Amino acid sequence: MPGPDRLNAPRAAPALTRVAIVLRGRDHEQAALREVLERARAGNGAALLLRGQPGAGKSALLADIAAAADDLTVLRTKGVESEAPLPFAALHRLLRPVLSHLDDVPGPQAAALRSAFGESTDDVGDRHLVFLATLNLLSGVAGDRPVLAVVDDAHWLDDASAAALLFAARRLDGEAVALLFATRDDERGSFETGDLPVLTVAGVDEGAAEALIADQVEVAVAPQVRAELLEVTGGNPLGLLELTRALSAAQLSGRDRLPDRLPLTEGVERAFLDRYRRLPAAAQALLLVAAADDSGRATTIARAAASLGADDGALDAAEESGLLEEHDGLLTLRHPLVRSAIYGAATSSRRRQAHRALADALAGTPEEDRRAWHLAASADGPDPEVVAALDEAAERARRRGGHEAAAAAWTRAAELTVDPQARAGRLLAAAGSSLAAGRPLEADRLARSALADATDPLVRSDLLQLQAQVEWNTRSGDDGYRIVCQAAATAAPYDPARARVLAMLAASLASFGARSAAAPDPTTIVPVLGPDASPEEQAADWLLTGFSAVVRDDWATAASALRRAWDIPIGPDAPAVLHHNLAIATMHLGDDERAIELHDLQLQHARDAGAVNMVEHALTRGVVFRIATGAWAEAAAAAQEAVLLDRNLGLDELVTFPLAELAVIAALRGDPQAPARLQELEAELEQHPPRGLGTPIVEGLSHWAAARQPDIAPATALHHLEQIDLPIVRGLSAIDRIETAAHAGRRELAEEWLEELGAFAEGTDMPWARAALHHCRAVLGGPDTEEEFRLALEWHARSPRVPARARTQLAWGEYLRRHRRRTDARVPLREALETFETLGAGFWAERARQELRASGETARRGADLVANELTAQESQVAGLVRQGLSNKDVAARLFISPRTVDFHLRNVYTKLGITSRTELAALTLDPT
Amino acid sequence: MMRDTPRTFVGSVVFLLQGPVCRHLVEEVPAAIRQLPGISRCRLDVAEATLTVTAESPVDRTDVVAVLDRLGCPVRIG
Repeated sequence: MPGPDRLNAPRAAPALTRVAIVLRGRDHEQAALREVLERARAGNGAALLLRGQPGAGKSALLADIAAAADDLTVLRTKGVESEAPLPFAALHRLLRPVLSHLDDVPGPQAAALRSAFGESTDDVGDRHLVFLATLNLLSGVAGDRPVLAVVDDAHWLDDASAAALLFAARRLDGEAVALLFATRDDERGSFETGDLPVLTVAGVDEGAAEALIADQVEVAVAPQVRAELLEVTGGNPLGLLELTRALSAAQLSGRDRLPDRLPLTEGVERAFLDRYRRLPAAAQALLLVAAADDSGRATTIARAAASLGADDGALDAAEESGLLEEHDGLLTLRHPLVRSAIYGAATSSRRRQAHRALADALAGTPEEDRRAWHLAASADGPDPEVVAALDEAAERARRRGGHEAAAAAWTRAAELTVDPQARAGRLLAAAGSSLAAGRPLEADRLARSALADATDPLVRSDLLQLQAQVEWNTRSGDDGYRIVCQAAATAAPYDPARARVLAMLAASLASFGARSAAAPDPTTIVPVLGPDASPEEQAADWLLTGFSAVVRDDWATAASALRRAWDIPIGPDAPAVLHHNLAIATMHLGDDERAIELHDLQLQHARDAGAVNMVEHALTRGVVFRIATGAWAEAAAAAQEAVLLDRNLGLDELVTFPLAELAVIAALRGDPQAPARLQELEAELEQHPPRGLGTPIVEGLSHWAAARQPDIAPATALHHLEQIDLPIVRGLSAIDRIETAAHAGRRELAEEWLEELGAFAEGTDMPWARAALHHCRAVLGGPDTEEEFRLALEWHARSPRVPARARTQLAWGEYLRRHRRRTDARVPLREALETFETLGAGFWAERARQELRASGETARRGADLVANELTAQESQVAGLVRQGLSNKDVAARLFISPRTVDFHLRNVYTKLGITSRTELAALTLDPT
Repeated sequence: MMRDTPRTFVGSVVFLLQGPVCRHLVEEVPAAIRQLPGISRCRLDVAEATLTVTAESPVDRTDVVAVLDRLGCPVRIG
C-alpha cells in the first residue's frame, strides 16, 4: 500500500505536454476565451459555456486560459458525478480559497453560505441567500482583483452548486468576474444553461488533426488510415490521440485491417478498456475503486483498494498504463471516459464490492455523506444500517439547503426500507424536499410512490396535502381543492384537529375561486366542534365557517365568523397555515387596517428569517390594502420592491402580481405613465401567464387597471370591468364598475352591481362598502341624492379608504355646483383637491381644480412635484439609505450586492446634485 | 451517485414516462416487468404516463429502466 511519501514523490507532469498538444487548431476558441477575460478585467464580467463532445479539449482550453490569467484571482472547481448527492460540494471547492472575504457579504447571506458548506449547523433557511452570497462573495473578491472562476464538467455539478453558479452567471454585469463552464453535449443532468452564451468546441480541422496524429506515432501513417481516423473522430482530439495509439504499426501503415468502427465515445471507451483489461487483477481492482470513488483522494482510494488486494505494484501498473494520474495528492483517472468505461464494464457485484470497500475506508472520517452513499450503492437489499446513514445524510443536506440532495437521500433510504409505514414517511420527507427544491413534478411522483403503499391515514393525509399544494401552485386550483378535501376526509376519523385545519384550507381555496364537483362541502368533513376545543381549533373552525359562507355570498355569516376567528388569541407557534389564512381572510371583508397589520407582521417575520418567498407574498398582499386606503406611495414602493426581488432572484412566475398592482396605482392616479405600466404588465402576462390560484386576483387587477386608462371609452372600460370575477377585486373597484356601467348607458348592469354591493354592505356592515353603496346611489340619481351623499360621507368618515372618500367629495361638489350652490360646493371640492394632491393623483386633482374654478374659487395651482429622475432601483436604495440603513444592510434587504448599492447610490447623488448621505436624508423627495 | 450505480429497491416506485404512451404497451410493459424476479405488482397508467412498480424483494432499478428502454417507453423522471 502506498504511504504518503510514495504518493507525494515528484513526477513528470504529462498533463502539461498533453495540454499543449491538444490545443492545436484552437485559435478561434482561445480568442473567444481571452475576450471574456478582457471583459472581466474591464469590470464588465460575463459567463461563457464551452460545450462539446467528451475529448473535444474543453478542459485543455480552460487550463490554457487559466494560465493566461495570472493577473486575476483564479478559482477552480469541477462537477463530479459521484458527488451528485453532496450539496454545494463543487461550490465549496470553488470558493474555499476566498472564504476570508465573507465579511464583506451581508450578514444573513454569509451565515447561509457557512451553513451550506457545513461550517455551522444552523439551518440555511432560504436557499436564495446562499445564491446571493455566492454572487456577492465573487463580487467582493473582484473588488481587489478581477476574478476568473472556472467550472469544468458542469454537467455533473451537484444540483445545489449548479443552481448557485447559474444564479451568479446571469448577474455578472458590472462585476469584474469571468465565469467559465465546460459541459458535455451528451450529458445535461440538471444543469439548465438556458440563456448563457455558448462556445461550441467542435473537432479540429484537418491540418491540426494530422499534426495531432503525427505527434502520437513515429511511423508514417498511410493516407487512407489517416482519413479513416479523421472521419471516425470528426477531429475530436482525444479520439485522435487514443484511437491512433490503439493501432498497431501494421495497421497504421495500412498493411493490416483496421478494427470495426464504433461511434466516437464508445470507440474511445473501448480503447481505454482494452488497456485496462491488459492490466493485472490488482491494478484493475484499484482502477475500479478509483472509478467508483471519483473524488481522487489518494488515501481513501489506497485504503479501499488495499482491502481488495491492491498493492504498490498495482498503483505503479495503473499509472504506467496512463489511465491513472497522480498529482497534488490526488489520484485521478486520465479522462472521465476512462471512468465510465471501467465502471460500466464491471458487473453489479464487483461495483457493489468497490463501493463497500470505499464505505469501509471512509468509516470514522468526517466524510459521512460520502460514506452513506457508498453504503447505499453497496446494498443489495434492505439494510437498516444503510438506511440510518442515509437518513442522517438527508437531514444534513436539508439543513444546508441541499433540497435535491435531501430528496435523493430520503428516496434512497425509502427504497431500502421494508416497513411500508416507515417507507412512506421517508418518501413524504423526500417529496417535501423536492417541493422546496422547486421540482413539483418530482414531488408529485414521490408522493404517488408513497401513496401506493402507505396505509396510515395521517401519513396518507400529509401526502395528499402535499400533492394538493403542487396542484394549486402549478396546475389547477380546482384539482388542488379536491385533493385537500380528500386529505381532510382521510384524517378526519383519526385526528379531527388536523382535519379541521385541512377543511379550513379547502374552504379558503374555494373562497378564492376553486371549485370541484367531486369534492364534498368542506364543512361536512369534520364533526361539530366540542366545547373544550383549543383556541387554535376554534380559530380554524370559525375560518372554515367564514370561508364557506364567502363561497355562498352569505356575507352576514362570513363577516361574523371571520371576526370571531380574528378575535381568538393565537400564539406565534400555531401552524403557519392558520396564521396565513387569518391574514388572507381579511381580503374578503376588505378589512384594510387589520390586513395591513397582519401582513406587516408577516413581513417582519419573513425578513427576520430571510424567507424570500414569504417576503414577496407579504409585500404584494399588503399592497392590495394600501391601494384601497390610498397609501399609494408606500404601496408603490412595496410593489416595486417585490418586482425587483422577483427579477433579481429569477422568480419570474410571481412578477405579474406586483406589476398588476403598479399598473393599478398608476391608473388610479391618472399618472401619465399608466399606459406604459399597463403595457409592461401585459407583456409579462404574455410571457408568464399566472397559474393556479394566483390567477383570479392578477387578472382582476389587470382588468381594473385597463379600465382606468386615460381617455378610454366607457364601453371599453366596461368590457374590462365586466371580466373582474373575484369578489375582492369587485369590491375594490365597486365605484368604478357602477359609475362606468352608468356612463356606458348600461343602467340595468349598474343596478345589478349596486344590488350586489348592497348585499355585501348589509351583510358585513363594512363602512367602506356602505359608503360606496350610498355614493353610487347618489351618482345614479334619484329623489334622495342629497341624502345619499350625506350618508356616503358619514360612512366614509369611519372607513380608511381615503381615495373613495375624495371621489365622493368631488361628486358631491360637482352636484352642488350644478345646482348653483357654489359656495357650498367649495368645501367638499377643496377637501377632495387636497386628498388627490396628497395621493399624487394628478388627473383627479385637475378635475377638482376645474370644479373649484367653476364654483368661483381661484384654485391655487398645485405645487408641481419635482420629478425625480431616479430609476426604480435607485429610488429603493435612496429610500432605505434615508431611513439610516448602511449599504450592507440595504444590500441584505433588497437581496442585491453591496457594490450594486454603492453603484446606485452614486447615481442618486449625481442625479440629485448632492454628495452625502446626510444631504440625502435632508432632502424632500417625491414619495414615489 | 452515478447513473449506473447499483440501486436496488423494495416497495412501490412510480416512474414518469415520456408520453404519450402507446396503447399496446398497457399489457406489454407490465407483463415484461413482472418477469423480473422480485416484482409483485406493476401497473401502467396510459393517461398519466406513469408506471407503478412494486417489489416485494429487492429489484435493481436499472433492470426496470432497461426493460422500458427496450420496449420503446423511456423514463422521463424516476
